[in-house]
Amino acid sequence: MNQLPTDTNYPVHNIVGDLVRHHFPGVAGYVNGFLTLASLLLLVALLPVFLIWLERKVAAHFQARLGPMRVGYHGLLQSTADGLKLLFKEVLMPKGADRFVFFLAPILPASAAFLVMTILPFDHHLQVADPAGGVIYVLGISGLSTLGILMAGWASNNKYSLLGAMRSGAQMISFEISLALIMLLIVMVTGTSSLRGIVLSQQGTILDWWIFKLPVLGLVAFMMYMISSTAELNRAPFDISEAESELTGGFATEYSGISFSMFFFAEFVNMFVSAGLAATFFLGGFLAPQIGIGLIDMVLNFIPGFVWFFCKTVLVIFLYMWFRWTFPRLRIDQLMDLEWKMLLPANLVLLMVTGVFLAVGWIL
Amino acid sequence: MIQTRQDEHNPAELDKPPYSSKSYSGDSRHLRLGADDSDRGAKNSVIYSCGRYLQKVATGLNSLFSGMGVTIRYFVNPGRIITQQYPENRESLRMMERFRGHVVMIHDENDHHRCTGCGICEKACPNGTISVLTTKDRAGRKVLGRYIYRFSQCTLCNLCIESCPFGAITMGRDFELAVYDRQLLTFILNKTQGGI
Ligand code: SF4
Ligand code: SF4
Repeated sequence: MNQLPTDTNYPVHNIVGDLVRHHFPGVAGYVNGFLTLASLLLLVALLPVFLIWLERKVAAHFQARLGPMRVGYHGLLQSTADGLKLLFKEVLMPKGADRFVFFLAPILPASAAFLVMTILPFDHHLQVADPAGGVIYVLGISGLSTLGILMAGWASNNKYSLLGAMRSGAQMISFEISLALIMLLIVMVTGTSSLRGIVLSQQGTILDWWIFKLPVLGLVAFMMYMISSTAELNRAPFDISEAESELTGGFATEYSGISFSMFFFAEFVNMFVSAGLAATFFLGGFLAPQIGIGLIDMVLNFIPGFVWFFCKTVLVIFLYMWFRWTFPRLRIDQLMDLEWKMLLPANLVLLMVTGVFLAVGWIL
Repeated sequence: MIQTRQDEHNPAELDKPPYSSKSYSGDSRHLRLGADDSDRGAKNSVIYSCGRYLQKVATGLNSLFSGMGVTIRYFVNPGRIITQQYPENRESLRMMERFRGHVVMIHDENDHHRCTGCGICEKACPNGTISVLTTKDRAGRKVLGRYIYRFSQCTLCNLCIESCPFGAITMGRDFELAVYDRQLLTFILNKTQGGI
């Protein structure tokens, strides 16, 4: 097994970075930093367009429909068209709404997604920053999107918005505990909380990914991560903060035009981030799925890491979509019961048993 | 996990009326772990709670997975998609078996129909959509003259078809029925005068 070097050795060499460094040696640090953020911003802007299309297609096929077919090949440009339409729509603000908070709120979820994206390890050296406390950073930042939703509900001066926001606040705060505990489990078994370190701890064959490396428990933890992150994302079956049929759109009731599309886009970028984290924690991140046969592994290793990362992430996203288009929405008390009476005790037990596993050394 | 309510009731509770029994206090109690008023001692034991918990997880996961199985079968079977891409496939579009277009009269290859002009369909129609105008043939018998059908008044309820004793009319398969002038919606359904 060829171990990847664990030291960081920046600057990382690549064509664009080297060109900038060669031509503008003085300001290369700034230019490259700017280029990095710009490319990330581009990714954040383009991802939702693709993901919304994917969601609509997947949803349609789960329901024996076709989905968008008209704009572009199999409706590929449909979400671009929808985005353009939203851009040109009038931005309305209800009477009596708090103007500053009302327009600040949609920015928060989007920026939270962007901020988490900066530390996602797309490839071995394709990561904007790799803070030592990456997991804690993720947890801290993801609270921002809850804040955005709460602010939106509060500032809208609408009872449906407020109800949706309050539900969402209760839900996200509850499920964040589960999410944090699962991340704690990962940190416990890897001994590092840097996301890159977590990926590097899974080198080897598929069996070295944490979903398999921790016998049975890894799979359980992965399932629990999927449940709590779906709730954290406010996606069906946990979409009680929007709940179209009960709350006419929840916190987003009063939003229109570009502010609405900010929420909508943030939802999908957040989904990507969550799926990316799942891939990082459990599915070996950017590592190729080696199976222990020399020749095949060589071919798999030849494919660059970010391709693997995106493949795994899209796989997890597909799981999210599968959940969404299969399960009915939970009632709020069932949701709370699920977290506080089912997930949380299970989480604590899982953490304890993992501790025992670690002590005894039952790790593949 | 998503539960069905039935497996939350214990069998003893089944013969009580569901909403009047004192042990019923809102839905959420049914999701509680091992909480029930009767023989509290046994049901509050840790082992009972754990068993209940595991059972819930198992049944919950089982039902979730079977649900996911159903949807994935739709997903991997594009042949089951029934969406029609209408204007594009106009040439090849086949209407569903049970589709009801407007009322048509069945004619054989010699343009003969089975209508006797009895007027039962006219009486059956709740909207006065049909007017059966009869005439006399050369032998002096009453036969169908003109069968007037006003599509603009028809609710496509199928009553006329069911009431016809001779099976002379049926619901058509046509679906592009929009016109610009209301007059064009009044049809004369019989091609020939007279009966069989
Ligand atoms: S379908 Fe109904 S409304 Fe139409 S003509 Fe027949 S009986 Fe009348
Ligand atoms: S269509 Fe049938 S019911 Fe109506 S007049 Fe003719 S035979 Fe009688």
